[in-house]
Amino acid sequence: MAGVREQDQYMPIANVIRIMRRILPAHAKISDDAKETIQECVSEYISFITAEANERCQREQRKTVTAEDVLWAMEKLGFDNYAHPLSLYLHRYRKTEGEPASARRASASASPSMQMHPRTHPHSHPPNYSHHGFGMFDFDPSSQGFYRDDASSSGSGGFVASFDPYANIKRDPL
Amino acid sequence: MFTKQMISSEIPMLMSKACEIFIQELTFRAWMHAEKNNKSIVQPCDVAKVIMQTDTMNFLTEIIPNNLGDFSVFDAKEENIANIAEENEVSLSFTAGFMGNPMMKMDSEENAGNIVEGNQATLPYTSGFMGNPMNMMNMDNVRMK
Repeated sequence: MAGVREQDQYMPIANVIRIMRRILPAHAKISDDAKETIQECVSEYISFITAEANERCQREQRKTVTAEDVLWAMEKLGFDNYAHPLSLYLHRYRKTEGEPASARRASASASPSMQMHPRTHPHSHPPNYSHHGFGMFDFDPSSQGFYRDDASSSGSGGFVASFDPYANIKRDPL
Repeated sequence: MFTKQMISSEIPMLMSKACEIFIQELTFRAWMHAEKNNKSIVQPCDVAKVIMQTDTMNFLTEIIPNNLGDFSVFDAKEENIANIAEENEVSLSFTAGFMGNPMMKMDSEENAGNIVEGNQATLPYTSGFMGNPMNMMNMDNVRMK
């Protein structure tokens, strides 16, 4: 590959912004420079974690980097708070593998990135997915907490949870 | 130089979720800095402050200079505002929850170490941070069991 284009160097900023907005209260604003800063940070994060995972894989003379290598790298680099819930996420993901998983695998072979199975509502596929099987770190579990906070605070509570059912679909290719 | 490496098909899915958590943690911590200064706009200096104060984010320090021309000025300014904020801790019930947040106390390496250890346990002030991505992960753990 000759030269790295800017659009290949960073994660797509529209997706980054959408993820940022989901964690912030409705009245919060984000300057354009801050959006770019976090876009650069998350792109650096990917390189940081995957380089460590790849290094371990090569040290053990394996040719395929596994999810376990990535989780190990996170723990080694101080993101053990991430590694544990992601490990659970991965196990639940593997349990739900079946026909949709093979479809994802087929699409993964066609394109460089894997497309998550689209869903319009968390409960629209009860036979195939356990509750919170996907998007388990979205806002559902904390919605009540937000409202409770609003009730207990005087003035502006500010936090408004919003659930984006399309958060996991149609991601731009890496 | 580069050897041909393949990746498991699970890695894009895993890294996508990891990136979501990372973006939300960084964003929320930056927002707390902005609110601390009575601002409703998150600025690059808020993000930079988080990077400087969080050990696990040290790998990002090289990214900061490109976005921070006035960081030193902001730093001096924030120090004064932090003092005022501490005085307000008693009277403001909403901000009291933020005063208990470890980010507010990470003034020195020693404090940072203590607070990092404290984060391992369930602390009462975290109940007010349902929006905190780290706390959110804990809730998901509970739900999944």
